[in-house]
Amino acid sequence: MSLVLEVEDLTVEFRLPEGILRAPDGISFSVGEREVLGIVGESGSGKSVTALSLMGLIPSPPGKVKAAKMEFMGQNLLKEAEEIRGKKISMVFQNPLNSLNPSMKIGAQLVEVLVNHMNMKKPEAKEKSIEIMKNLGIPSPENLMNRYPFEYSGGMRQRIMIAMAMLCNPKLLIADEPTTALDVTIQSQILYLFRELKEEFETSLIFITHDLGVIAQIADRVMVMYAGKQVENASVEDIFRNPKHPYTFGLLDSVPKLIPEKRKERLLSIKGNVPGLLEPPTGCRFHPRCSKAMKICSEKEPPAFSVGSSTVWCWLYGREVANNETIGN
Amino acid sequence: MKLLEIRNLTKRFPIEDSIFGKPVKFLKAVDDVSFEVDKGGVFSLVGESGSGKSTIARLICGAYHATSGEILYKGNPIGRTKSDYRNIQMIFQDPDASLNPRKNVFSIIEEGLRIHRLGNLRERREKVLTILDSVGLDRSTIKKFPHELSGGQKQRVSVARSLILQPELLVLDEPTSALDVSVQAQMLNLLGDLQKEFSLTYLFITHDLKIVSQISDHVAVLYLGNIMEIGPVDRIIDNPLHPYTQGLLESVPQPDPSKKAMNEILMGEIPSPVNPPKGCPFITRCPKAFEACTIKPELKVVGDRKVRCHLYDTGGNSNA
Repeated sequence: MSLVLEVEDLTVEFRLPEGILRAPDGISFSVGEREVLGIVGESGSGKSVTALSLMGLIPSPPGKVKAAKMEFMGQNLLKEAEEIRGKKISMVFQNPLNSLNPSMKIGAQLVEVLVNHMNMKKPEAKEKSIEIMKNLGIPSPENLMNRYPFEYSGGMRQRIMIAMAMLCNPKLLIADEPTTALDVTIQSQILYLFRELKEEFETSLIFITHDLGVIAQIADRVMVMYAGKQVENASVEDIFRNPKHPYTFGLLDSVPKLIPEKRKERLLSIKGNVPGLLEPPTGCRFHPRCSKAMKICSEKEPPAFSVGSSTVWCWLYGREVANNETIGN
Repeated sequence: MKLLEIRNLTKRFPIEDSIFGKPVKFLKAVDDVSFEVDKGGVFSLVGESGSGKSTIARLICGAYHATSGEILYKGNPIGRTKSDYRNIQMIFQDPDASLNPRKNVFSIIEEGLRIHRLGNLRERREKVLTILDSVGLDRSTIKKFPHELSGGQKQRVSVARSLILQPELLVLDEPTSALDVSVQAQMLNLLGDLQKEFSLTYLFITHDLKIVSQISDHVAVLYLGNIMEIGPVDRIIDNPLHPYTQGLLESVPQPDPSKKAMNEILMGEIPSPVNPPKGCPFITRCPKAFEACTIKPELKVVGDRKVRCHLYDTGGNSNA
């Protein structure tokens, strides 16, 4: 599988009056063709900033994006970004009401994208917009072009945002919590739409969410983030069947289950709170909350260990790797 | 024993006035809702946005007046005695909006005691410290202000504030929705522990069926202000009868990659409550709708629960 996106050692640094904040801090990942990479983590893990840095949307100052490598189909994203972003990489945000212009007709907003990025003439752009919306199953798109965002429900607005992101037929779509503000039944419709669209437009997808259920439904591979660091990269099957990092374990155990055998069991929650990033914990950032923490965890930051097909940043696997063993549950 | 009885509760909001200022158009947020909460039980109201679940909570707490219907607390209309509102406390979704940013944790928690003139300053301080222990907050939190606390800690302060008057009934409106997954699990465990410790009764409002299955013993599924299905949680989750309950359950994304939902489950969106459909409220999205559904079904007893659906009419066309 050829790679669409390759990121190595990405750090986004914010110089704030209170000190220097780094999130993400030295993360590496890649996205293959037509692959869905799920990024999961709690608030403050740096998952949204990762997405914004790919789109070049980090305000500078105070932000500064550094990476050993940030390549999109062989092109350096840190330099020649203008013609790639918005056209070959596009993004869908959590709250569609914040990302649509409330005082502009929906049609005008869609046409604008094509006129700016694809140098289309307006009538042509209009036709193309309607065609894309038809493909995405939006009812009566001709009618919708002349209306304003407030006239539509949250679910429909999110569909419009997705249509807008797909207008230039991007190779990579980044979706940042696109279903979090929606009701469950609408969420399942939008997830379904994302899966269809991946097939139809042959797009790769980075899907950011805090909801493990959503990750299981949509992702091929998963990156788990905690306090600015990546803690585990693995296939979606491994994350759910054979999680390696104690944080991944904890997250999975924190979700109430619907299946009868596990219902009403006391949840095995992770103790404590997500740490502040201005003064992150020493060593492994998860060690103050980790039930398996050892002495070394508070002293040295764990490097990447390969365990099976997963990559884990955890000292538990420091000695295990030699014997080619895994610590299961 | 029935602690709380809701009988034919209806709430309409005026949304349009005539030129003489008389309301002419109404939004029916809660439509003839009846249910009972047993003492010591956990009753959940579940539904999507616009289902009327928060309106019911506010009616119970006296924030709104009902258009018609009754709310009985221990057999008497609620609010008849002042102690009712001491015995019923509410916890809201967003602690940033419900905690006063200018007050420290002590004055936030102590306020209820002060209003009800209970104890002197030293006794109140002692009580606040004890309650901080119960909700798992460090005693040093007492001097802090809300902005110094994390989301989970703030929600613990809300819980402490609601418990300080030793209430019998807690109305919790999406208390965990604003929290991170790991903190949400801590909160659900805490709420479970407190319920046993103080023998509390919960009315739990949420949109998340996973949380319903975790915490409650009875549930009412709401849609456009109507109860569609009501009964014991385990029975309803294992065997949902109403097509809406079925769709809602199937829509919950399973944390299991082998259980990908392969087709679109429930089509369409909730209709606007200003203009609800005629007949069954769910008719516009129901995959099993048939002719009879143009007449609004009654909430009828079906085995161990009640369901509002013509599919379960006795003698009706049940295989349609």
